[in-house]
Amino acid sequence: MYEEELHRLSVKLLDEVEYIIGYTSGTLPFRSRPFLCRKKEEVELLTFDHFSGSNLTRYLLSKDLREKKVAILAKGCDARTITVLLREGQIKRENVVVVGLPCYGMVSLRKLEKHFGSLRPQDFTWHLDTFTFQGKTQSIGPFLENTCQRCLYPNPPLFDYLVGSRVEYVPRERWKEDSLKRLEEISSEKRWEFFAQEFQRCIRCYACRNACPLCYCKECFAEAQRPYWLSPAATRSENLFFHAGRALHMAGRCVECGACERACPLEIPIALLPLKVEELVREHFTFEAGVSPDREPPLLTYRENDPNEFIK
Amino acid sequence: MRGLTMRVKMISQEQFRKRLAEKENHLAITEKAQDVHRQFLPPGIKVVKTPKEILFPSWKEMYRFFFKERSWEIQEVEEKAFSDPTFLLLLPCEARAVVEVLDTNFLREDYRDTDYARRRARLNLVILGCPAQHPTCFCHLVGGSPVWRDGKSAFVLPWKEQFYVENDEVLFGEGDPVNTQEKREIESWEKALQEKLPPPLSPDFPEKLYAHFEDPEWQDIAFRCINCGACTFLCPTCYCFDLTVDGKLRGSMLRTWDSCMFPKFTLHASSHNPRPTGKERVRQRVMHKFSYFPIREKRYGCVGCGICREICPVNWDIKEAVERMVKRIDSRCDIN
Amino acid sequence: MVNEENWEPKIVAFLCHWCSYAGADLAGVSRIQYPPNIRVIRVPCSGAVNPLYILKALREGADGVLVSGCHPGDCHYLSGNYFARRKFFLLKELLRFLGIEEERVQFSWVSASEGQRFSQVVQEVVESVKRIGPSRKNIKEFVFHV
Repeated sequence: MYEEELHRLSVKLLDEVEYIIGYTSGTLPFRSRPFLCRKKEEVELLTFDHFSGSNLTRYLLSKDLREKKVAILAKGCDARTITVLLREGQIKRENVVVVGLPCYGMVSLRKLEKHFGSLRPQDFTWHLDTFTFQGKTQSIGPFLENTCQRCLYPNPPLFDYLVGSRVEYVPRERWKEDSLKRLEEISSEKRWEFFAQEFQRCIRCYACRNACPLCYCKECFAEAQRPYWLSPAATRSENLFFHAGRALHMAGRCVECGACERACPLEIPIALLPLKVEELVREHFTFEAGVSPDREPPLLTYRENDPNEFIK
Repeated sequence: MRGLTMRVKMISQEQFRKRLAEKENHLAITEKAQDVHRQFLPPGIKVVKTPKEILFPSWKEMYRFFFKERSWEIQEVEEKAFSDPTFLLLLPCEARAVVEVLDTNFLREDYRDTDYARRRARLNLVILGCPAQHPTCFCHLVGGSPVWRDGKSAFVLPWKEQFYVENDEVLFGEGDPVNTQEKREIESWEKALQEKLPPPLSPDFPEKLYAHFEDPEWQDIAFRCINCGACTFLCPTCYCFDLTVDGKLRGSMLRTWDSCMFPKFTLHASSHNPRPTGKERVRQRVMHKFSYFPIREKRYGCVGCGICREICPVNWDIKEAVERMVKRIDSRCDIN
Repeated sequence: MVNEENWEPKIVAFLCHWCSYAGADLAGVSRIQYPPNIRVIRVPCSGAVNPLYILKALREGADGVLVSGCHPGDCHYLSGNYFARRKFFLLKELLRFLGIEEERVQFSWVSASEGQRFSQVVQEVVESVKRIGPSRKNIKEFVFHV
């Protein structure tokens, strides 16, 4: 998508920045991977497609790139992350040039495989919000990642340059698929059955945490010895502790990009926890991370009429 | 390894499926093997992501301790009744990981890990040969092949409309004998397959890679890795573990999987960390599998299964890393 | 491991020093009887209670957790309990979303003069936890008793 415009812009950008952090096609089919573009000859390698799901902003925090002036490709959710990182003092605005990418959603390779069986790249042609498979064109809606199906910000709220044209609809309203709502509608016991199974499977590889650009603590609470919160053992209750703790640490900060869920090698829908916390923040504290940079984060402020009925 | 002592037989696809369905409760299959052979398998076999789930589980209580009346007491943890499957169906690369890497590490001359030895003794490997190479695999690069077997475990190969089976007494039952003509056909097919494969890494690659420790290429190679640990946990050869004391006056000593990708993996008590950034850790991972381990044990620490490449959240690719270093080595560039 | 017939729940209570802890103290000196199932941890303010403390208590085997602080507006540190209110709300709703019983983690505002009320709160909490039985979902798998 928008590759020509992207290449033209990137050549110009390399005059003012040292690196461009973008995407390039992966070494395996249907993969897009983070790419550090340094030279004008490499600009042709920059791509952006429906599998470019990684949240690139985590690379802004790496030791090597932190003090340099870089350009970064940012979808709606990624741009929100940049706002949060600016707010938290992790990056300097003058060091970052944001190239906004309006995004129609990231396709889930797993959902594709489930539906079509074994996949060959040559069978698919991708358009903005549709794709053609063996002559038949269909909507990408049912195959989007869970977080993308309920996305509210397809257009980056922050950018220095915008590539491509704005998305004219809100994905959550268009696709009407909300994995979070589906879970909220079932009974508490059934929800526990579901989560118990998923937490049992988790191997605590921390792919979710490391893929998240907002999990940048030098020492994660899960690995701390002083104080010692939990063991590294990947048991159901330890995993519950880890994921609940991480979701609470993301309260008012999670930008719902879904990088965590995409990263999980066991396909656990782990984004559900931070998504739930964000819905609560949205509904009860009227706050969305990374959208209004001037507003106080929800846990640093309070209101007289905050929810109180649950307290005796 | 062919000989008159090795039992071979042919069984029908139906018998294959039927026997597996009958022994379902004693079986497990790796996810990769299930992907490759899905059409022949009955549903309902327990799936594991890696053989390590059975042989070297992700967590284990080593012992319990408690402080009672002014002294410490240690309590053995009762071994739960062994409920793990006794047969594991897996691909040749995964079997090679068990036999050539995990066994080498846990069953040493000077020390045998008792838990691993017990589990290994009870587990029968059933190697399912690959009819062709899977897109993510590169077993040839590290001296493996889609039809590798260790000569002791059962080996099964889909052959025409049937299955060719070696070394099986208990699982598949009686079969038809393999006549000389068929035996020759299978042998020549295997030989042709072997010849079609690209060549493996050169025998002196481990030493040459060792000499490129300070190569600036590592910085580039390490860029996209997010240091999560997913690759190490799902890798069938990775065997690092950590010991954690859980509890103060009463608790357990836990053995859990550890990952060289975690920043704290090499954190010393003095707070010095010899592998402080991703570059050192990524370099170490490649060097361990393709240099240190092979120099010491005369076999690669990677079996080319490609699971790490498939699941890596950012598509960091160990095969690509190795190929890049091969290029650097071959170009004889000055790394200083 | 747990004898079902005479099982008594273990409740960990985080009480803020200035209000709830003082209220509990008042109940004590007034000789007001309340169930002995709670183990009190004194914290300076309910706002100092990290949600991870609550999860940790459950992990170690607490059947229930009570967190009690000053009434909104009466916090010794002016706004600690307001921040706490938001954190606790999120924790409670998240646990409910995961399917953990609501009675496991409970909150109250008890002032220093409310000795009687404190004992009532403890009574309610202990009874509600008794009803739902011992904690099984959060407790670490390798817990053991000597």
